[in-house]
Amino acid sequence: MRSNSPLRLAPRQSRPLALEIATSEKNSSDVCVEVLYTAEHSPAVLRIEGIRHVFSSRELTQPQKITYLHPGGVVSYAILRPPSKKALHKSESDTKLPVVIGLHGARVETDSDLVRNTFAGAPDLQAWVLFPSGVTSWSGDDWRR
Amino acid sequence: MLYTDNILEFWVDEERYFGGDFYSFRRAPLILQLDPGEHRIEVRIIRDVRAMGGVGKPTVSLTLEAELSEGRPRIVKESLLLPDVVEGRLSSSWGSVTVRNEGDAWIDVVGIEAMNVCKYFFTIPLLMLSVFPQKDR
Repeated sequence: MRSNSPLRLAPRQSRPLALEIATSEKNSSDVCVEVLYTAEHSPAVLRIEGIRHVFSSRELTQPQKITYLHPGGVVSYAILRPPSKKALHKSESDTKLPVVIGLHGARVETDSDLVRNTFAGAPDLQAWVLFPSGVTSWSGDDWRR
Repeated sequence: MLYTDNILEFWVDEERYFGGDFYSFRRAPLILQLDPGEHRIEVRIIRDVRAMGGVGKPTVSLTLEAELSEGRPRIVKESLLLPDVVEGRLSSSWGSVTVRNEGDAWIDVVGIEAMNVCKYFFTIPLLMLSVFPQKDR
């Protein structure tokens, strides 16, 4: 669901802004995000002071944060734990490994060491483990249903 | 800006607000313009027994925090969501950030700029409202 109409904010309103990153050849370790806007009654394009983000760098088999477009229209994230190299060696070359979904309880922040290390006791589990964030740690996706 | 952690209902100078930041998300604080002088905040105190199953003492913890606003739009730093980089490549291409309009005029966000970002898109506002009704103050 994509539209190129501007995101409108009323005075004192907060709104999430979804963005899609187009990768270029030069991948930087950090990025500075600035937002451009216009205010009513004026055509001038103004800038909001940018914020800097340093990307977390992971190895291929480390738990990693992936983001995706949620059906609700916001961007959500999950932590994906790929199978280890040993797990891949153990399984036959053309086997597809299953996906285990870890659904957190209330108030658990998915982007945490607690969640990322949940399967530390089974390092060579032959599966992909996915921990969706559920949009927020308290509400959003209700996976009890 | 008024943060109302663990508060559902409150009054500022007898004006009622329903829909405080009960789960302390801190995503959309109330932005108020108050004249110099004294003001009155009243809070309805409630406690959610469900979360801990009635364990422990019946205490309530809530937070009221006021912060001066610069009165213009800004990006909420803590809200920036971007994927991890896995062996030099972004794991996915989606991201998001919260824009907070602390000013008095309507604004239109018309673009985002960053290294490696060259386009943006927006969701249909109606869908946003149905998912997070409390955010649109």
